[in-house]
Amino acid sequence: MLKTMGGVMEPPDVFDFEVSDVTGTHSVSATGVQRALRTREVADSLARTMALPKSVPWALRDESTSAFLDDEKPIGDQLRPGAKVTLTPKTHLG
Amino acid sequence: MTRVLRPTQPRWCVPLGPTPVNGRKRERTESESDFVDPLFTRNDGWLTMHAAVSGDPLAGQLGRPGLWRIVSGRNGQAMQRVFELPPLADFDEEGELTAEDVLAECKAWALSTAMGRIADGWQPPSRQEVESGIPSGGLSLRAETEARQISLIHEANRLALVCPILPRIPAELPPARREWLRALLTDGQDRWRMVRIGLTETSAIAEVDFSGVPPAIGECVFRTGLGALRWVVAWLVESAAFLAEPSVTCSALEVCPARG
Repeated sequence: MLKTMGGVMEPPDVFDFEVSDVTGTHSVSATGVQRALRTREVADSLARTMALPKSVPWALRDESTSAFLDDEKPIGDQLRPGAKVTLTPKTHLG
Repeated sequence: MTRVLRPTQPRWCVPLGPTPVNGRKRERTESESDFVDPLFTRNDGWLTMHAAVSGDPLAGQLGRPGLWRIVSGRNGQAMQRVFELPPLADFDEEGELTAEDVLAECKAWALSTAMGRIADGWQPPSRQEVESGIPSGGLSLRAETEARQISLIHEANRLALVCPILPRIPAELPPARREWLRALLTDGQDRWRMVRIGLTETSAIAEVDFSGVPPAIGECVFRTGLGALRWVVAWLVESAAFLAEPSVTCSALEVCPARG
């Protein structure tokens, strides 16, 4: 939580991680991401940063565990600093 | 006749200059005439209290109680502190408070918070009640490539909404770019009501503080303030992120912006 008091502000709680698209062709460094941000918002903003289609819902997958991150939970609760994630379209096969 | 007051649709843009009168006496509506106080000026339905100030318009404001914020001055106006209340022009005849009662509470709120104090015994509504006034997803905002999370500060003596515009400003950002960033944030603070901005070496933060707000108008002022904060941050964040990105090179930004 971001706090300010008496004219002073605490630095926001942020962290950095690496993001690549599902093909591994393009990658960006997500820096200064608020840990409290909902994962859905982070995924959508990263998709725009990487010029990916806006009409597609996007999800993040932690490469270390292959697990998809929960859209509704804060991203800081699901990733450690320096993590590598893949931005993946939410598609269902079969 | 008793009335309950609710703000009208908020409009956050600050007029560029004083409301022209041109010698024409503007006919007052019944609701406007109930909100006359020599300490407040009325503009576009908003009630504003003014106070003199000097110093850095982006320093020393955050975390202080109430809606006071610094505007650096537009069109040759002097720097000043302002306390801005959204329009309170709708009346419900079945309410319990008169317009005079509410105006008196608003004035007391403004005057006490101008001194850095809130009314003795003031407490915010319960966290549940406050959160019930926040729409789903209302504390998350996204402006294209930038996403931000608003923090709800709910403590014994404080109620506020705080949001980073820039959670982290790179240490290697050149001085000229920092000046452009300062100019952008100062302009944003001048241009839009209710939201105040703080800038340090490492981050830029926006907030609206409701500490001490009279209960009669608390819900409405909170909702207006949340909307204003979302608006201002969304308006500023992409430009601020562009200016704060060290890998961006632009010869025009290597020259400090003109001041004044």
